[in-house]
Amino acid sequence: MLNIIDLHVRIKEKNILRGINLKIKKGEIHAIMGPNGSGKSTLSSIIAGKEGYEVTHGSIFFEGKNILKYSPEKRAHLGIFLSFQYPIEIPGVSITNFIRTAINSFRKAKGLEEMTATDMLKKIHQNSTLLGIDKNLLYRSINEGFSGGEKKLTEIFQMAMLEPKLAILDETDSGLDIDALRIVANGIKSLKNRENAILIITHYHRILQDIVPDYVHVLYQGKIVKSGDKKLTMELEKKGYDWIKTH
Amino acid sequence: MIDIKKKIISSYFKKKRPWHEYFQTLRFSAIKTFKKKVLTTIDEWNIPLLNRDYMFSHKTSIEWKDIQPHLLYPTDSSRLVFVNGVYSARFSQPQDKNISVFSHGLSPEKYVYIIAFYAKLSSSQDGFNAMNTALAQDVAYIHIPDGLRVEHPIQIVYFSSGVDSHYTLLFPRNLVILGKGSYAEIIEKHYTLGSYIPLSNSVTEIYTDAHSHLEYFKIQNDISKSSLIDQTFIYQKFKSKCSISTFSFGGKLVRNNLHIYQRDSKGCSKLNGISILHGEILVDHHTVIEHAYPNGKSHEIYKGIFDDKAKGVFNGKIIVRKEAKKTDAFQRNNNILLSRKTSVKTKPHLEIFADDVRCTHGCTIGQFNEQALFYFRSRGISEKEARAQLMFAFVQEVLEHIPIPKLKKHLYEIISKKMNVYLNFYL
Repeated sequence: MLNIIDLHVRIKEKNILRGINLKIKKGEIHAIMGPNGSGKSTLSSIIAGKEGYEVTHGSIFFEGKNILKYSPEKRAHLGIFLSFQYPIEIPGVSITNFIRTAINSFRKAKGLEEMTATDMLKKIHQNSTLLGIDKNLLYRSINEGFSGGEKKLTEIFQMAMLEPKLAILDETDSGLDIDALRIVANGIKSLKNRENAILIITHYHRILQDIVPDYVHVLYQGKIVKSGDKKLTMELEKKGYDWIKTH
Repeated sequence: MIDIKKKIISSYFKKKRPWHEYFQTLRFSAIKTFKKKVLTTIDEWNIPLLNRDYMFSHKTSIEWKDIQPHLLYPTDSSRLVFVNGVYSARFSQPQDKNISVFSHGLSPEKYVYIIAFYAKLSSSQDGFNAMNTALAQDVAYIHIPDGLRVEHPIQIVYFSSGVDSHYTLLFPRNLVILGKGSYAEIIEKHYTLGSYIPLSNSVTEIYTDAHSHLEYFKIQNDISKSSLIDQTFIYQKFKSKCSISTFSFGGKLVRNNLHIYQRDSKGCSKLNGISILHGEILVDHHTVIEHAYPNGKSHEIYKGIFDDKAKGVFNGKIIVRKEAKKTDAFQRNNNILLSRKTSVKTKPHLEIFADDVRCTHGCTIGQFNEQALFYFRSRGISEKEARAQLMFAFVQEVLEHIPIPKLKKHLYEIISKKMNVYLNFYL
């Protein structure tokens, strides 16, 4: 599904990613861990198509297409979804209207008619029930005055509505208390199936106890320095990132 | 410059004199003020436009089909239509004896009543105001009696039309009096139909008596050659509520001077503004709110989006006199600049002489939020639509309070058209 080959990225004069290789197949859950400043968020942004980065070498293939030249919206239409680390507040746009515009943009890209209001409401109802989201939240402006948990949960709600093939969850666990984390993690688990894939980016192994990854990669100084299965998270938890640094 | 001044003065002397002595004296003293002050005002306000060979209003032939698309309520509400400064009985639909036009045909009793209000608020010290008082002919006169709630919005529409591309001077004038406990909604619009290049020098005086409530909307969406100088003066009595919303989308030079006098306690004034501009337009908002009695409130939000070479000015003055204790005043001006060649000057100006008041103000000038844009695009929404939605969201705060659904829809349509997008819902 996703195949990153020898990706080098810099911002201004600073090299952030220095030769990333990563392969994700459908049905898999991957986790990328690593200390602050190792390039985790850059990697997720660049897969989703954020501007402001310079790719100096390498490529990103998604379902066989090199997507590096694609706009963020085109990548979204192909099935890539990014759950933001810091979801932005947008006063004046309700989540309901936002997601309605998003879904209809997807449909337009596929040459389909707009979804009827009834179908849209039904889908919103199904997914908000599944995730246990307070419906009032969905009529409020995006993230305005939301708690940390509410922000992350509405990101997952958007994921549920858009049904991506690959969901990148950028530090979805950070800033959440244990209860909020459990709610969000259960939401993510309920959306996982054999056809889609998830890339979790995190500092902590806590979320990985709920959403058990098939592969764990450690990112350090712009490179994947170690890969393994879920046991690697326990090792990191025990020994800390210093263990990687000294390796 | 001197020539046009002479031309204006000589046109004054050619005008038919009003039969009531009061108006004769008023006009005569106004033309004297004009003569003395106009050059200073032009200079102070930076209005370069008088340096043209202006004509005065001419008769023209326009049809119902020309004006109909510009009316919000073609059938069921009151409307006063003026064409080239002259009241058009044919296109108007007063529907009510309280909504009328005074020029020469008003009954003597009404004249006597009006004397207590007409030209009492507008300061006689600036050249444009004096020019209007000296030369305005047909005045839109709306008087809502005590206790009456007018169901449908009243429209005042000023058209200018002509086949030649002449510079034309027009003098729209409105007098609005709301009786005790009354309610009315008024929509004012100026529109150019032909190839005239008009400069409308407009003056509006509004009186809101105790417990009355007025919602007044100015739609400035004229073609790019037309200019408008609008001066509006409002006198508010006890517990009256007055909301003035100014929507500026077009024209060449638009100047809005808005002056609110709270002249009794517990008055509430709301000033809203949306400017969405491109091309070479200049829109200049000068607002003054004067709190002179205790427990008054004012709430002011102006939002602007500027593209191309559009320029904006916001000058918001709030005066809290010594007696105006417990005043609660709020002012905010936010601007987004979309091109390098636009510019905005914003200036909050607070003069507070009373203790125990709350006055807050803030202004911002910024660019598009790139992070928000990426957020939209990462959800599959095209850049163009994302920008449009973010612009809508930016002005939504002002739009959402409009109590007239048809007007709201009309404004959404104008804004969608300006942004060249189709939105199938209201945000």
